[in-house]
Amino acid sequence: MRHGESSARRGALVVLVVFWLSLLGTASSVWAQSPYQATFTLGIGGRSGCLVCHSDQNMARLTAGRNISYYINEEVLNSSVHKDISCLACHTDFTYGTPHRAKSNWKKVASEACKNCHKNAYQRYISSAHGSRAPEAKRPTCGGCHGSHAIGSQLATQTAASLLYGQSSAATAFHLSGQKMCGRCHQAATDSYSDYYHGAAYKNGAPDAPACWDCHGSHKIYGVRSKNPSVAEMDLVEACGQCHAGVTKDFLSYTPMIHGSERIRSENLLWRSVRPVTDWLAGTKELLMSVARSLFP
Amino acid sequence: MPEINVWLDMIFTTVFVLVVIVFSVHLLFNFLTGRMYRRFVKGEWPTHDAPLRMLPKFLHFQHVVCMFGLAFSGMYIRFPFFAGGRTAMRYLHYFLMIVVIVNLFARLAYAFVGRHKDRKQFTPTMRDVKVAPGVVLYYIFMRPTKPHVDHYNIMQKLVYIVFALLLFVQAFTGFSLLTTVFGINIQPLFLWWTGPIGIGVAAGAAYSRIIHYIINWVFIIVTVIHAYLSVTEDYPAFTEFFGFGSANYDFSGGHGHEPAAHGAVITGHGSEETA
Ligand code: HEM
Ligand code: HEM
Repeated sequence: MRHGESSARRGALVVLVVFWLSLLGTASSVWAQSPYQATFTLGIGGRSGCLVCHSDQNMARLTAGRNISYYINEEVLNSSVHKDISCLACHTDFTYGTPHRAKSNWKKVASEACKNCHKNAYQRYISSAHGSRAPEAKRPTCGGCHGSHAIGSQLATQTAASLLYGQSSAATAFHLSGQKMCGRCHQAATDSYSDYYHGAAYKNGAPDAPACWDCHGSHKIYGVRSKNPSVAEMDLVEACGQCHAGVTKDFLSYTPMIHGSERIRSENLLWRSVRPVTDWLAGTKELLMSVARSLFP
Repeated sequence: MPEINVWLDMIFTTVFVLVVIVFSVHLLFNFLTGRMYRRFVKGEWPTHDAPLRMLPKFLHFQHVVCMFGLAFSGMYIRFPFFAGGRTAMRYLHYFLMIVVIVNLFARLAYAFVGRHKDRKQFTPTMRDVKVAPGVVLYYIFMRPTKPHVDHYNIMQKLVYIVFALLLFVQAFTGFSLLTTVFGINIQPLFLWWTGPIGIGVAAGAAYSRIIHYIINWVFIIVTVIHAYLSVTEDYPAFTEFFGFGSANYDFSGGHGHEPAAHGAVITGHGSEETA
């Protein structure tokens, strides 16, 4: 009885040793080939796994002559409102393989991912000029306006805005970012936004002057002269009424000024007649300045 | 509406520049006709027969400060000429508008009640009207002397009365631009007239703003003239009014408004040229 028991034990030990040895062999052969060849085994439920590689500041790839960084600043991530969401919640096309070779339109993928949580905003966006009419190549994604890893991040918006306007509050900072944000595609509209009280004040950091989206809407963006039935014609009475009490149609006669102040000014008869004088004065000033500069370098 | 606003900017800037040019020419004539020489070198200044009192001087000083602050902050609200000043300039305007209104009422109280009430100094009389052409001719160098029948000449009287009236209109139009004050909707108080003329409240406020802006320019232009004349016509009184000098006094009588001079036009006073 005792002999039988010990031989059974020995047999089990041999099986165990063989098992461990073969496991070690497989692992070491994988290790020897490449650190990346395996099925993805790092923790991906959170983000610590991804950051094993992506927290390396030198992580970059040369693509079509451009050095594209794949570095993710954890500090920025931590300051974002999405800090508790796993990487894969947005990067839904992750291939569970390394390196992630699959061609991915990650911007598009990410914005598609937004709708999983932000359904209403997405519905409005997709039926707006931005979501449906803008040419595919230029179509703004969620991240295009809201940012990505730093989304809603106090740190990032504050830094950006304090650089821009010397503002310290994140809300003010976001409010004032319209000129840059929308200006990337709508340069002419942001340049011409310089009327009294609204545009000129906005560009000079007035926290209560309307940002682009205060009149044009945000997710369901309004083209003011939009003829597309899918985008409702902007109701100006309603738009101006957000700030002005008692708006009626007669109040709207001001609206051409909002993006047209420069044009209206330059077409003014009196301005056109005094223009030669002011130009001459400006020229004389320039001449005097250059003389002064050459005399006192 | 946009065109009106642009026109106002253009018209008033042009008028302002023209006024500066006209008064520069006026200053030149002051030199050419020897008026400046007689005043600043020989010390021939108008004489005052009553002391300039402390309270009006103080109120005037405060008034000047307020008006400068209001014009500056108001212009900033319309033309934000530096970054980040909106909130500060608004509150500066809101603060000074209260001070200036209190000041206005204080000055009116001083003028109408109390021992030193001086409203008569500001009331135009028939004699003022009679000598008005002479006053104008003096200022445009068509006449060597200024008719002198009262403490203030007719142009001063009119300007000071207009200042007070305009300030009331300015306060009214200004308040109509505020929708709520401490959570209370004050529009019914200042925009009640929009209903009867059939426009919306917001449009009414826009018209108020236009009037407020016009008066702002009237103040700026008239004050520039007022300050220029106060320095060039009666520098000693100017220094005394701002607390760093003394006006020229002559308490021996002989002023145009003395009983002896009733009906007469007294000339050859103080700085005036001898023909
Ligand atoms: C007398 C009492 C006054 C009151 C109650 C008053 C009130 C106001 C208010 C509420 C505003 C609008 C501010 C805003 O948009 O946030 C304003 C604007 C303005 N104020 Fe006054 N203000 C007064 C006197 C003055 C004076 C004396 C001046 C000039 C000498 C002046 C010049 C201006 C200007 C230029 C604006 C901007 C107008 C525009 O937006 O086109 N204000 N005022
Ligand atoms: C730089 C600015 C100003 C200067 C140098 C100045 C100078 C003077 C002087 C010297 C007098 C006294 C005249 C006399 O009694 O012989 C006077 C009176 C007066 N000024 Fe001005 N002034 C200025 C701005 C203003 C402004 C902004 C206003 C109102 C909008 C104003 C309104 C008056 C009035 C109503 C009087 C009558 C006397 C009184 O108020 O007690 N002034 N000014």
